[in-house]
Amino acid sequence: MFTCSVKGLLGVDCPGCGMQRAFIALLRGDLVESLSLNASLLPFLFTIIYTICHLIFSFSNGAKYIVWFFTSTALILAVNFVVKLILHS
Amino acid sequence: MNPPEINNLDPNDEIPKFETHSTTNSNVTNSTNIDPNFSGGSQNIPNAIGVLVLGILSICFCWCYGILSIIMGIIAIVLASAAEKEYNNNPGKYSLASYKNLKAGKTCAIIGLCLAGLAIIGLIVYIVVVGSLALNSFHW
Repeated sequence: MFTCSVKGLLGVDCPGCGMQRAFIALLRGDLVESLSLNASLLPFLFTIIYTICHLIFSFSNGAKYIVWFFTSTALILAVNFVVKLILHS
Repeated sequence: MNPPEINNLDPNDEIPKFETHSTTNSNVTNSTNIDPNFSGGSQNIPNAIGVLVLGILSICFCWCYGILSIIMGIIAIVLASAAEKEYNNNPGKYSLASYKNLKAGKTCAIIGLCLAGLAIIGLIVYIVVVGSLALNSFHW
């Protein structure tokens, strides 16, 4: 696994920390642990899969939904980061 | 029909599209003749898919101090503005779906860029606060 450079320098998680562990937990099928490690991995994967489906099948209102999914993913990422900072400090 | 539409017909040497895509009347009259391209032209805007993919992927490269994310966001925004200018030059040539993709990609890139910028600002604030605390507790 890659080590996060922010965590190596400062000892503090960056917003994307825990994504690889969450992905490995998802591959094991452990949904709860994946969500607790980084809650924004599942919406992010959903956004990517939806984008691929949109590029292949070209849904009629797909671009608008992509923007909404992306915005919610970013919000979840930020909230997850702040909650993790508060819980671990 | 109006004379500006006839003027618009002249530079377009492709056969199947006649509408100017802005007026609803021409859309209605043309959709009876040709239905597959009632949503703009047939061509995709160049870089529309690339902008969309770059904008979406810019959120997951926030490790490495967010530098990669900022680079990808800036590339996506520059490509998107260039392609938007290209679309505004002749809007009848490109399809409306790829224009929507382009706008969505630009919005995603802006959101990702804002997020990476916030992360970098937070990092700097953290370094300043922790450094000043450490300097205060140090006995000179």
